[in-house]
Amino acid sequence: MKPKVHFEVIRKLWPHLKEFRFRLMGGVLLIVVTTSFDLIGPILIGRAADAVVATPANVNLLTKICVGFFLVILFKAISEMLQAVTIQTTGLLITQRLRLRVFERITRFPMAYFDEHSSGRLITRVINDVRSLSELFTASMSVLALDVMVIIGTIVAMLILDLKLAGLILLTFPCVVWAIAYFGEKLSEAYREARARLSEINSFLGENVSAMATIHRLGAQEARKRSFEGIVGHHQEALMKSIHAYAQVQPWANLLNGIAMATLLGVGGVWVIQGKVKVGIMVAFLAYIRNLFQPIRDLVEKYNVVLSALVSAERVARVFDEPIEKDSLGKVPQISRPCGLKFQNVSFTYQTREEKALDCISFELLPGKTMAIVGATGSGKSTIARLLLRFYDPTHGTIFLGEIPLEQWPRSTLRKHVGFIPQDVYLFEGSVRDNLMLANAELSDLYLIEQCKKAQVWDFIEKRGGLDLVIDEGGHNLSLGEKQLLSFARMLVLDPEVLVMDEATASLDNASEARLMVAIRELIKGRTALIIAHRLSTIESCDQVIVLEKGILKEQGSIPELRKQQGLFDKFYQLYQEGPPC
Amino acid sequence: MESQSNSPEKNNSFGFLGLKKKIKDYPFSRFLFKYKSPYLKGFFWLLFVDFLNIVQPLLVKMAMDALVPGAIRAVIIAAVAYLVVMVLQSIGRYWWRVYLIGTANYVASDLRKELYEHLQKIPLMRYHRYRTGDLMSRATNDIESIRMALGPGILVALDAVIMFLMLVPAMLWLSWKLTLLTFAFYPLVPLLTAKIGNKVDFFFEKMQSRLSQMSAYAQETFSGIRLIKALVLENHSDRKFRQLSAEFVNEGQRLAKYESVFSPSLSFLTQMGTFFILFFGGKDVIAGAISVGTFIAFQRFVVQLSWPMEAIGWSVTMTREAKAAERRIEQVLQENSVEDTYPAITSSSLEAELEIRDLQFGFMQEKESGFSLALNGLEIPTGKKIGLVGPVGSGKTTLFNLLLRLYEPPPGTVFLRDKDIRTIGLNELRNRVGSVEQQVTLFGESVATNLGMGLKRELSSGQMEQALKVAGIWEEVEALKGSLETFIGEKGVTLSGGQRQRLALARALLRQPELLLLDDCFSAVDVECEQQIIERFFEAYPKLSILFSSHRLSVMPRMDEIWVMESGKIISRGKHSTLIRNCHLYRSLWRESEREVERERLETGEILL
Repeated sequence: MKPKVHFEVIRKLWPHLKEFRFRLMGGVLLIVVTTSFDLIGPILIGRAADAVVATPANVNLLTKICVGFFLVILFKAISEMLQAVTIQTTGLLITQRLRLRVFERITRFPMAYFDEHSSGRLITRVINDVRSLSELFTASMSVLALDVMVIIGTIVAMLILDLKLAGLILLTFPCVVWAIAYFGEKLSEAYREARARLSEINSFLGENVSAMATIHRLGAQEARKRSFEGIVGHHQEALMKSIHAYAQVQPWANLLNGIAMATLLGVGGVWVIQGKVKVGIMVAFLAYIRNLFQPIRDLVEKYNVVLSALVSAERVARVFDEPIEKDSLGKVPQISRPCGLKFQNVSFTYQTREEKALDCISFELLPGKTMAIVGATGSGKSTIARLLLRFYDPTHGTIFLGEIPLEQWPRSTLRKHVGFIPQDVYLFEGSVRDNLMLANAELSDLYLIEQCKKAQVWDFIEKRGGLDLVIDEGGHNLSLGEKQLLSFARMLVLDPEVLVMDEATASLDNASEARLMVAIRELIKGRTALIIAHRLSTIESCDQVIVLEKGILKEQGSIPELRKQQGLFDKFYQLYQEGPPC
Repeated sequence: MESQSNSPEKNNSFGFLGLKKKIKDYPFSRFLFKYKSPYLKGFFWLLFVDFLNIVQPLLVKMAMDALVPGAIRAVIIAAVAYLVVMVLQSIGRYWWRVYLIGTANYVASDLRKELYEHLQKIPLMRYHRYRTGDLMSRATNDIESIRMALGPGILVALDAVIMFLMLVPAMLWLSWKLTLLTFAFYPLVPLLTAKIGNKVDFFFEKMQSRLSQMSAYAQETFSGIRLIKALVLENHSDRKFRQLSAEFVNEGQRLAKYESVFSPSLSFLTQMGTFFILFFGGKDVIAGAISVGTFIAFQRFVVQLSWPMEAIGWSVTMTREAKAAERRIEQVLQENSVEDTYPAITSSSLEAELEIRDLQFGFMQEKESGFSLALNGLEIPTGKKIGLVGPVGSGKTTLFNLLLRLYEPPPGTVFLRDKDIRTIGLNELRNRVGSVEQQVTLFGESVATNLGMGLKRELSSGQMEQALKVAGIWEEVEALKGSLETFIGEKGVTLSGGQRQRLALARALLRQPELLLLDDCFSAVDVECEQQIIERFFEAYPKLSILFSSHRLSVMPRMDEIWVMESGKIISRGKHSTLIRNCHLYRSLWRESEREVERERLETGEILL
């Protein structure tokens, strides 16, 4: 049952590796060559022994054999080097290919996938699983192939040299196979357990290494340490089990090796004395038995590597099974600038939740106009933004961008036209310049600085290295407001037709607040913009307002219109209008 | 006999003189000393097995020599003896494996625990310089390298040395001439090891650092995937990843070249030994100088020699990898831990009365913008409830971190009952000064375990219930499938944000602190609920001093005093009624917060009803 599953996995991954088939075959071929040189060696040694004991001794023949032997070991060394280079390089290339494919594939998964998988787990796929998988094709494959080849070759050579003696010695061979199968199963069970325990250790570390501040606050070091010691202890036990299991396999191989040798020395020796077998054959057999048992030991050793590689292979294969975001491949729609957008009876439900996030929403935003979305947390504001960017597709209804239904837009084109500023600013590691230019390397510094100035962020960064200021991981060296303004500058550089912005809620001091407003005005100038607004000043700079409540569109219109309706919006507009209680 | 006593001297170059230093230099050698007894036992069994290894060819020689005169008895004896030797060897092999490899597992476990324990002691300011992924990799991959070095690595190295030391005398005993011929090319070995080994080392480390770059880049990409997709940067990130990957492969290919030359050339050198024996040994047999048995046994000795040769390569690689791993682990272990050696203070002398005198604090690495905190003459008298308000980034969280010594304040600036908090044991300080942060972290354990996390004493379910009631989450906990024993998933994912915050409050209360720091810890709880919790909580803990910050100011009127913070300074303090008149910043914060609250109420429909 199990081997079948394994083959299935390899079959799935094969298309990605197909182009390496010649390299792999080359590696196998070199293994065959190396092995055959290995098999010739003992025969030559045996011949030499025969030449030596012959009466009269044949010095000439001995010299010839020795020259032959030298050539054999020389060529063997060469083919071994070629084999090692080929296999290692192939391994690297396979690793690289798979790693890129897995990475590319993951980044193209729909957002829903990322909602369910932590980034830590995804990194494991890209880095560790791929490495372990490529070992399957290189280290394990080469060793396995080599070992199997040596075993088969040796058996064949022995049978050819002396059928009877070989048959007698190989009587133990079925026992060897049985012992390996029996103990191997026990061993792999133990290894499985150890691996499971190790992943417990890793997930504990993952949780706690990132929660260190809390551990300090609680003074929970002792308790956490004890928990960790418990987990480590379990792992330790499992490992010891596997060591005992392994330690049991090796002596068996050793014992069977001993029986084979004793048979050779005893029975073979008697036959030599009786003249039934030549000394040379016996000498060659001495080397062959060694050849036979070494690879068996190796095989046991490699079994575990192969098993864990197959586990990784399965995980990697699953990445390829997972569907990526479907995209329309038709011709790319053209839009005029600025362009409008329209929601028509749009409903949406998240896979992970039951209630509708949006319920039959319809509104239209004319080209160049701006609209504020107002509503409480969970009213569906962010969902509108996510649908517009096609992170998710609506369950019902249609969204139009410039008269064209959203499904007809390839996501990449769509997202180039629709710029998105999320609430949590995310900056990439690297310089300010890297963050502004992103994929576009042809922008002049002058232009970038101009955009920074428009976004009101230039005087913050100018003195600290300007465009060369390096932003560290998580952007700890910039303040929240600075980061936000920088993300505005980035959007100005990208210059999309439509802007979707999720305004940050954080309260800022007055000076920063004023700065932010100037930047926002700059940002929406000449663009169609949809803003999830939290500040009255932002709302007031928009042409239209929609009010959402629990996924339902409650009110819609310009500020004066909505005020006239004296509904929800009017209530909080009044609240905002009231001066401070003095 | 003579040759045997000679051999150790002869092999000085192989390690006897520098042995002690060599052992000390071995990665994490202290564990070798710690586990001396199992290592020595393993060493004994290794000696035993290797000795039997030497006996084998001699038995073969015995059999072969008996063949020529035709002594069947001797042949049979040799065969039986061979079998016995192999049986004994099997036993020996079992034990050295258990002792040597098994002990390495203990070492790895020890090291893992030690590393984790130390991570917990590093001051947070320094700790946060490490990336999570990086620390993870040290605690997993690097420790695995150490395990390999201290188990299989040591085994292989010892085995090689022992084999070598035993083989040479045995070979000399059989024929000194053939022995010399065998070793004719061996001086090349150290040369080869040094030359190629260094390159291997160099490229290996380069490759590892490229790998960790790739891993970091993948981390960044996956955690920022929403923005990557929004900005259509998929292709860009592919390109960058491909570039990193290509660099990795480049280093890898160079490494592959050197590695592939290394082991075949070593094995070629041993095979050359076989070649010489075949030729010169063969001639000796013909000349009658040695027997056929010696000739054959010598072949086998030379074959056995190939193992120590191969082992050199192995153990060199493993040791080098382990060395690199040791450096990376040691780097973390060398991080100074927060000193925590102060004697405990008797509890009567320490009632919360916090005082801040002339506290100045900045993050050193940023010179110009360097955000800094400058506070003076602040105090929290016993039982007083203090509010802390200010715009985002004004330094509230930094202040909290300083009071808990998560960041170390300068000496003589923060006092708890006239005692500099730098002279109070960390655990004691944090037991007396409780805290709940905005980004609550819970652990993947049961509710009860989370509540009692880090507490020395056992909590009764009554105590837990009471705290949970004050925090306004008892009913929700009770409704869980297993009540207090319910498992809440990794980082508490099965709970909502508000539930997590309230659970964290209960956790803090159960520690019976004298001062409680609440850093905007009700951000995910709705206004009504927050008000209720605060009422209940102030009533239940009249003697508890509190420093409470919140972006929602609705509970501020309940506070005995409010500190208004801007750009790291307290610009104003007083009661709500005073501040609302006198302080412009407070007024605008209050106004904004009230609107937010009203809006929230409006939206949830409460006002309309």
